[in-house]
Amino acid sequence: MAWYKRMEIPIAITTVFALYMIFEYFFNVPALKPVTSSLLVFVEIMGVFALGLGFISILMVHVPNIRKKRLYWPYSIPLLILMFFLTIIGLPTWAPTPPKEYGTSLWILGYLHPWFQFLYLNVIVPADATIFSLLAFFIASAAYRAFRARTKEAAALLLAGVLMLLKNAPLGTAIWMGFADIGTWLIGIPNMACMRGITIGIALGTIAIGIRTLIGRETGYFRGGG
Amino acid sequence: MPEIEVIFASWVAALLTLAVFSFIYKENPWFRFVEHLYIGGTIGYNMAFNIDWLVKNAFIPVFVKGQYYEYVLAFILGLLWYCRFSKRFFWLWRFPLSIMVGTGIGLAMRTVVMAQFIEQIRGTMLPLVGVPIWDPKRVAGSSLINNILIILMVIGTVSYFYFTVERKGAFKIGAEIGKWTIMLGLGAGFGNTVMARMSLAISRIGFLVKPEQQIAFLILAIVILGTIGYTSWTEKKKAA
Amino acid sequence: MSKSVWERMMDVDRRVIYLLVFILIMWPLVQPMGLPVPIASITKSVYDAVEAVPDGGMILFSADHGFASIGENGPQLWGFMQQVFDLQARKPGIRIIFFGFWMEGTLITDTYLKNLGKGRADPNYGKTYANLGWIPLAETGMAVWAADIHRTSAKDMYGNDIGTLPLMKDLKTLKDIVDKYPHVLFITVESGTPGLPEFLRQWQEPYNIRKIVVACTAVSTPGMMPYVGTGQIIGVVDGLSGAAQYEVLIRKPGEASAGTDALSMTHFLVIAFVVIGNIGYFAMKGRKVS
Repeated sequence: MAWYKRMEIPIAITTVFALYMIFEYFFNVPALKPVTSSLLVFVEIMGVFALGLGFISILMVHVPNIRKKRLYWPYSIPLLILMFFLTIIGLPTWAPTPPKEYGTSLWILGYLHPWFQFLYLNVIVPADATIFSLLAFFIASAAYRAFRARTKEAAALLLAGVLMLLKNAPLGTAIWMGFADIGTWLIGIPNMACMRGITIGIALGTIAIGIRTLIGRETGYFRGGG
Repeated sequence: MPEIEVIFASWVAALLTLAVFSFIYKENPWFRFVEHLYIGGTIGYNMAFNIDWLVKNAFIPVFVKGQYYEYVLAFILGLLWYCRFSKRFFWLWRFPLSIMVGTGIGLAMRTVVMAQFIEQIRGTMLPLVGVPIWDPKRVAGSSLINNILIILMVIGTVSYFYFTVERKGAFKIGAEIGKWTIMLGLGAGFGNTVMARMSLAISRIGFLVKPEQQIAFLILAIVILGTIGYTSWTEKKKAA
Repeated sequence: MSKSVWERMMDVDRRVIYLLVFILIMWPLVQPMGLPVPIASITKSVYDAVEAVPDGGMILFSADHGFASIGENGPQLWGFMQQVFDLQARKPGIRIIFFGFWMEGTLITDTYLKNLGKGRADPNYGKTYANLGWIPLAETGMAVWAADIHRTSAKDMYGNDIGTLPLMKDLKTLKDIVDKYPHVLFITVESGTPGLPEFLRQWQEPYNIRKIVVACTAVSTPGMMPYVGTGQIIGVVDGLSGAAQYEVLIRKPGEASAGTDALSMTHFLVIAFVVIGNIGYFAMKGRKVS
């Protein structure tokens, strides 16, 4: 393998950037402040360039679908049409200052264009919100099928869940105000303690993964699946 | 917006909502159509926003205002992301990724210790004197019973997730307390999860039953259920 | 062989459950019951924190949620926006900056601003409030924006150069905001990552933004409670129920208040099915043992 293709170079770059960000924060050198802000903007611009990866991946899946007439290939057509249409309509206007009555002309585009606004409000929002709202039905069915008090621990879980449901439902608190107090206690004390323990664990995990990445032991993200 | 556009918009939204809800009966072409539309739309507006940000914050400053020429290097490195699709130049993709990952790790690690570790430990060091034994007006507030419980439960939860030491003696008691804390905590979390999911459905069904939507709801529901019912019936007939 | 009652209790067709959920959501929306909504202390503390912003204070308002959670975050965002503009009308020295780290949240913010008669068509836009739109790249974006606002949001949501906005002219970093405005309240309406932990890491620790209030989906609320306990955040508006409580507090009933009756019915339905399932399970277990 040529020396410039070795993994050690990107790992070293990762380490240098990470150590710089940490060093700059703790040592608080005023001369480094403008350098850091420029570097961060630089990284942000570079990161935003990755926008096309998803777009190209979708094309790589759905264009062959249509060409080879695979299963459900007709659905790929409206997918690609809407994708291109929204991208083109969403392109930013080239006018120095957009007019107050934005989007009266086809040449003034952008996400504030009436067609973009129509599509987002009446196509994407209903589709997105409704797809996720299906979870309501599934959780009711799942709670019925899977939530069994098979053991003492499961019974405790079930009891806490039912008490929270009674607290969250105004009808529950209308029947007895005590449910509100019990629910408040449950979320404020045992749940808070449990989540605090998990938060501490997450913080330790973040540090551990960070150190592993810096010393080059964590390189899974370089594989890319490609 | 003129009235005809408002009516058209509400019918489109109602159609898409009902098409997705038809999935709870069975998977069908209406749902598949909306699912694909949603994927395409999501990628489309993502692209629009990203291009917009790049043009306004990167391209205009460099190519129109003549500032920040160092951004050109960011553009070149940004284009290296697309080497991911090439077998020969795949290795170039690692450079922008390594910069992003390094910066991200540095930003996260430098403050996570304070924000999510020390503050949480500090928050667990609760007073055991000078507080009432129990305050019925603030059931989750600072009281002797609550403070003792929080200290024991947090230590218990952390002990529970410590798998590299054998569970015996005091450590076993701690892990046991942790187990019960997690059961109660996750049970409470389940209650909130049900509320979250139901809220999503309430919002969508609330949209459908608005007075101005009701006609659209009824007609489109009949059309969608009718087509699904008809195709199910013809499939059963063919199978028979 | 026909099934026993207990077996039937454990084996209700899922489509019956789905239909019951649908009906029990629809019915109270058409025929509201008008049940009272008790106010939780964590919601009241959010309301009080917003009302406590003095004349000359700054409100940083971040909409960090997607379209999927609009059922919960939408009413929260709407409630907050009504309250902050009412507050600004009573205390004209208050300044508000809108932005978001989720692009969907910024679109919804713009729509709600339009509904309030604010935003791009408002002659006061840019003087007392500004909408900077989307900032990309999550946690990195938070750090970049805090370090250099003018380079990260060179143009606002409506294409105006940030330097031409009277409010934003001299505010180049988050430190400038903290130095200029003694009272800075940060409101975030969020539904996932990037969210509160990232803000705590990138804004609270380095820039000492201490007054933070959160409105989140109910599923995220348990994860916020440790931060309430440490005082890192003042309070939480918890899902649709929290949004309904907030509407009661600001005295502007809306979508959330209309949905609480449906919330009650569906919660009781879930409890009923869990109880039925468990009765069937224990009865079957008893039969097998005997």
